Amino acid sequence: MTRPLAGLALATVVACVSACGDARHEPVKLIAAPRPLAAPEAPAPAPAPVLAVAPPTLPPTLPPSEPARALPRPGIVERSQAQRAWHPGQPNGNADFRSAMDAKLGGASPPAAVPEPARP
Amino acid sequence: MKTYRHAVSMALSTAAAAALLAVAPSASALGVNAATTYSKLVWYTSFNADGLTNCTQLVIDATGDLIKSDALLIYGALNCGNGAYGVTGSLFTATDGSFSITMLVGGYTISCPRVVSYAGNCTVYDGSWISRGTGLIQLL
Repeated sequence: MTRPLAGLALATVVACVSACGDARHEPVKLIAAPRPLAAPEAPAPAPAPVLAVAPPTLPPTLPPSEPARALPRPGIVERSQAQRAWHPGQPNGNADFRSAMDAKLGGASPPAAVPEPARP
Repeated sequence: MKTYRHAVSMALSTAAAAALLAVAPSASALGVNAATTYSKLVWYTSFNADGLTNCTQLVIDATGDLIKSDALLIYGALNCGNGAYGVTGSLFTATDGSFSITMLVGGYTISCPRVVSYAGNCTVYDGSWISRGTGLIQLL
């Protein structure tokens, strides 16, 4: 009876030594189950190549189907011609305008230099 | 004595107010002086744009302070064989002795850059800034 008890105690000691060893030597315990690797995402589609599109060129003339919104209709009268027309012989302000513009722009031609009288 | 002091005070105040009014600047941002209007400026014109081919006379007024602003507003009429188009635009001078005119005429914008010696070439643009023709102007 004493021998089985001694064996049991020895086994307990051995198990304790082997199972309750230094904590520093315990294997690192996983704190979370490993997550399965995400399925590889499909690669982003490559951007479509930019096509070299020439800038739109404006048509030289409006197509016939497009209404001529920008064109004045020939013959449209926006003012009475009789009130604005100038006829030869009537006074106008061209001379005053020329004078003011010449003064502003420096004159079309510089004034002629006055020659000094010859000294004897 | 009190009446005399009051009278002197009033006189000084009036003089100060008059002095302030005398030096008060005008309300114009550019400091331009009163506008001068040059009336009935008559130009010979020629354009090949549709609707303007028989418009041979431009009669406009130009107003502004040419000396200080270098620019004038213009308005008048482009006389054609069958009527006239209203005209509005502007003119500005350049230091090279030229001036440039831009005007709205009957749905067109007519640009006459660098007019020299009162004559110059023009380009006629439509509302989409497409060139619709050319022309010339010359002050009579």
